[in-house]
Amino acid sequence: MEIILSNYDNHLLDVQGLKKYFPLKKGIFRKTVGWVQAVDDISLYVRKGEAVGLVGESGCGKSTLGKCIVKLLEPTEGKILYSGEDIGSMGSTQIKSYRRKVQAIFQDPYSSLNPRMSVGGIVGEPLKVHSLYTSFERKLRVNNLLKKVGISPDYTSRYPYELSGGQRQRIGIARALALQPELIICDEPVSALDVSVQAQVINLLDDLKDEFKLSYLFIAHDLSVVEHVCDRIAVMYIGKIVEIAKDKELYSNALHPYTKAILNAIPIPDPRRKIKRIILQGEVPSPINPPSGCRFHTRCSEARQICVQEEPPMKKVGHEHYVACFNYL
Amino acid sequence: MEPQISSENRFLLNIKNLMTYFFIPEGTVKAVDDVNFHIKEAEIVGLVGESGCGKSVTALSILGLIPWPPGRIVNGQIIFHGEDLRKIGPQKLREIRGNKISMIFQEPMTSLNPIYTLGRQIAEVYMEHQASPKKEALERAKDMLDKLGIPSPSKRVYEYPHNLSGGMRQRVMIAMALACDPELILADEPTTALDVTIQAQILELMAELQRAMSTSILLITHNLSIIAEYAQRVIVMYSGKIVEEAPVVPIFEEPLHPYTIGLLSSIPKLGAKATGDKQRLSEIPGMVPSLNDLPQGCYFHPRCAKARPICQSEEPELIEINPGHSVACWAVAEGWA
Repeated sequence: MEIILSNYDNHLLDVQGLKKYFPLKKGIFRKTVGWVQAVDDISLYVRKGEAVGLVGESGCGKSTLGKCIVKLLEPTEGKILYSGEDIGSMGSTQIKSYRRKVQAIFQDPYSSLNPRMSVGGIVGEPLKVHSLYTSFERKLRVNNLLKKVGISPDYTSRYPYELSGGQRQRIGIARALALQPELIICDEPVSALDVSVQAQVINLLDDLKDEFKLSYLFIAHDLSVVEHVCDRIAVMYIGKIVEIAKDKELYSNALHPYTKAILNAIPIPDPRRKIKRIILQGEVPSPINPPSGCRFHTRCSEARQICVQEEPPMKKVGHEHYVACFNYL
Repeated sequence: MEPQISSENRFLLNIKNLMTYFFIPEGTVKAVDDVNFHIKEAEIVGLVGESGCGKSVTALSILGLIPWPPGRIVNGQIIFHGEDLRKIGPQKLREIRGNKISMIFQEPMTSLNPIYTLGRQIAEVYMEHQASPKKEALERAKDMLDKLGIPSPSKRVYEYPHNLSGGMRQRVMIAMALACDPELILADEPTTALDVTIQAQILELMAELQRAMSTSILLITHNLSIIAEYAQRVIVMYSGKIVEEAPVVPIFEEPLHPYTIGLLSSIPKLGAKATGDKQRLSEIPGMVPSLNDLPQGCYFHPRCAKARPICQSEEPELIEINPGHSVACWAVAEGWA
């Protein structure tokens, strides 16, 4: 996959051949009987100031990839480079500074905030952990952060249960911003929110990106949201990336049959539009025993003999457009 | 379009002045407050709104499934085939529920019984409503699963819900809902928990079966795009009230209520960047008010850019602006919109 790696001096994050397998254990001796191939040989980069989207259906491994990047999970194989340095071989001081630069926002604003901590405590905690500033300065910073995400500083002494879903998500964002990170891993940040609140949070993320020159790895299942926020989009299917392209390119010139199918499956708020639905047959296969060859061949209408036998390599098909499909080899 | 016969008995379901309140220590929650609408035969009516706007409570009220305490239907008529479902008594309501009117719930994970086989759960519907003997009921359950595109149905009927994926479970829910050829299906967020490709499968399947059996559907969802593609008429609810009602095209092309307009412009449009008109999403400021602390006048006024003093003091009524297009908004009624 050297093509993707070329010219990576401006790459903030570089994921190279990442694999994460979870053992399946059975019996009283917890013998390993198989592996869940959650993330299987993924390469991806994020430039400075860029928002990269990662879409895919549930269980495709997109959150696992996010967790590996923030070091909540140890990858089975492969490397994650941050500003050219391998995060797997960092010493503890380096890791601490890495953790300041890379933050995460999670999906569920109900379970990702500690219910026994006040809003001020939650947002100020990262500063405390990294022993930054005096307690007075911390208070000021927390107030500023809250203002930035559109929450009145009067809320510092409130608790999460007093807040709505949208407000909690804003608190989560303020906490992620506290350490002035460079990269934020957003794992389904708006999918638990109502439509009108979702727009508020998306706009907030957009504004913060411009203001603080942030990079995002934006993980979501809703392609319309991802397309709105991101500059480049990677489509995942059972642990693998099947297509990566620029936002416009992916919409107007999707090549992989899976990308085409998900684009076609998304309902559009236009009652006059009449389209022929490509209905994908069957279900997403399990990542425990993924299909041989191209993992999509079981549901693909264009599958040929070779798709069953061999795995398609990632191929460059246009400017920053890569696809893994035998149709384009 | 069918000829305009405006006699009310052409309505399969007609809901008049429905009020469902929940009495909790903090006060009275008016989850559904004076709601009027109807559903015609073979019609798909979309009911949209954000969480807590009363859309699910409306569906539960129709089937008399509001748990007391704390909730109760305090007023209104639910006329189905000319009979008020509130007056017919629990025995007759039981006969209608799951038979003439059935429901598909959002969570396929929690709405199936985990300790019974799928076959038994579907067969139960036939045994209960059509007095089918057990064996025959099981056969019919297999046929139903087959119709819904579930592979190897004769094996599936002996499996348990945990053996199935989310999409498959939702198909089983639909199989149970369709078992007795209902005249009306209340589908409460039928695809919200599912992935897009599976969502497309399920919605196409429902649309197909609806056409084949001329069933009416009340399609409850927060997803406006689904409404655009499948519903013929749309009802928009906000904080327990209907704010706008119209056929599907006018709702999307000339929405009148500021809330509907706000909702429509706050969804990111797929492909907007490719056509060069990526815009900042427009937001509806603030949030949905809590139902036990509703503002005076129009419930939407604190978030509405068009609000004037009258909106803060008086509640607007739902009035018909164009044939079939009603809206509850002072700005539209008084013509300052």
